[in-house]
Amino acid sequence: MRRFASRAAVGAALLVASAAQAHITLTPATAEAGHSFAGAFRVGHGCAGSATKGIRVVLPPAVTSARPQAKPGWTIKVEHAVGPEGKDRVAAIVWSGGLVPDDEYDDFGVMLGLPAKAGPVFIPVVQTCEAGESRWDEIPSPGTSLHSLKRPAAVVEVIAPPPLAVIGGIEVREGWVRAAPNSAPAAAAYLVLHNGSKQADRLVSVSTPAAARAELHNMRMDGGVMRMRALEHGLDLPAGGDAALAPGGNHVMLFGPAAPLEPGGKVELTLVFEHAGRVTVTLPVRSADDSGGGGGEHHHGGMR
Amino acid sequence: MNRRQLIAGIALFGAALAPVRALAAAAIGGPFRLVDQFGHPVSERDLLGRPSAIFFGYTLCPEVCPTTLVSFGRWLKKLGPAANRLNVVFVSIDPGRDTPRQMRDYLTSFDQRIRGFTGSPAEVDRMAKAYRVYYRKVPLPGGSYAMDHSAAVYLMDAAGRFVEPIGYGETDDMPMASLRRLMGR
Ligand SMILES: [Cu+2]
Repeated sequence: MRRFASRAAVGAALLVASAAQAHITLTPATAEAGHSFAGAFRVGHGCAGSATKGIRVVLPPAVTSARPQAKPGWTIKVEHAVGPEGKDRVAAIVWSGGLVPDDEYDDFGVMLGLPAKAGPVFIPVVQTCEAGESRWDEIPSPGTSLHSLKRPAAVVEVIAPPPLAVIGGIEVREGWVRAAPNSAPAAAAYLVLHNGSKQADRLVSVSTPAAARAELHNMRMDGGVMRMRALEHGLDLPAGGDAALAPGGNHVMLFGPAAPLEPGGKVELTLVFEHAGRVTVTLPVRSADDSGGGGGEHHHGGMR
Repeated sequence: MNRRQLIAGIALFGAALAPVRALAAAAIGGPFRLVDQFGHPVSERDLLGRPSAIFFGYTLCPEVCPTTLVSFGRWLKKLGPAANRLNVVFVSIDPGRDTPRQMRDYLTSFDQRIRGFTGSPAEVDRMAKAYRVYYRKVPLPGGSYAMDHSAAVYLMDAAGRFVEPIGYGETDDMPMASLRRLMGR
């Protein structure tokens, strides 16, 4: 089950940003989980006084997609590799052919798909200068401060977005509706519940104006057979615990969508809890994963 | 899921009839008389002469079926021109709701090379039995129903003989290896 960013994590992100300020940094230093990140690698100085003539950014598999911004005067090369799920991923981006004098700074723009999970994502950068190179590739081991590193990698801190709603200590997060094929008689909605209260609760029912009827379901693969059943007693939410409605398992089944559920659309969902009462959340409609079994452009974990 | 479990899964329905080993070799596949999404009659003979990838599902299925159909779009693209020599067929095991018209509208959301077969419940049942596909109607509390069903893709050679299955949820490299082997036969 997922842990959410605490205040401590946000504090850590700020520390990370200031520590790395002297080196090659990602700006902004934080990103909201579940949103694509648009930012830049900032080169603040050359290599020991020598002008920068190129950078090579090495993307870890946690980065689900990457697109460099066109940069006049520079040549950009995107290197591909086979990623998790056997699909193509961007392994590195190389900027070359330009020049950043030692006493100037420059930004190298990127759009990145980041993991849905909160936490830092370290991205090693090799800076090539007229004389020599600097390898910004050190990643702190758990419990180690970034300050202690001489050549820290660039880092962006993924921060869990605020909950969609909070009611009676229950947080509703990570909600989305799977875009439905044309004329599909049903669609699935997903969300994660965190019960921060001391009392166990239960998601009893769900309703929506976007469909004729909503039911709580579970699906599972059983020896190669797909089985879908109603959660007739709702979904238990232990005190202090989480319950997920996520691909491959529990879902809200929306029967008879009132209008086509297309990416970019919104669906209002009213959740009824046994103790906490009812709360209405608005969920985005997202395309079913079409990039190879995981992630997709919105990092919702794909369908497995 | 490994191959043995998968074949065991396929065999759920026919387990009482034949040993698993024999199933893998010969007993999957057979004649059918259905209609495609345009209402044209189709039979096993329409698939002969080219390899086929066949899977069974229903349009109310919220995750497994659209995922498989989306995966097929990706796999066909990766196969390149060879994909045009492959029959890809989505067979409804819910013909009560999945009329040819419904199949046609639904399949417009996916790769246009994917064909949709449906038909009378008796003919769908005959094809499902021939392919050792398990399916069962399960009532839901609000008055609708779900269909339990085997989720594997069946790869058949140009002579209509079963070659191997692709299990649901495999990462792309395994299905692509299977499909390339199939196309190279
Ligand atoms: Cu369902």
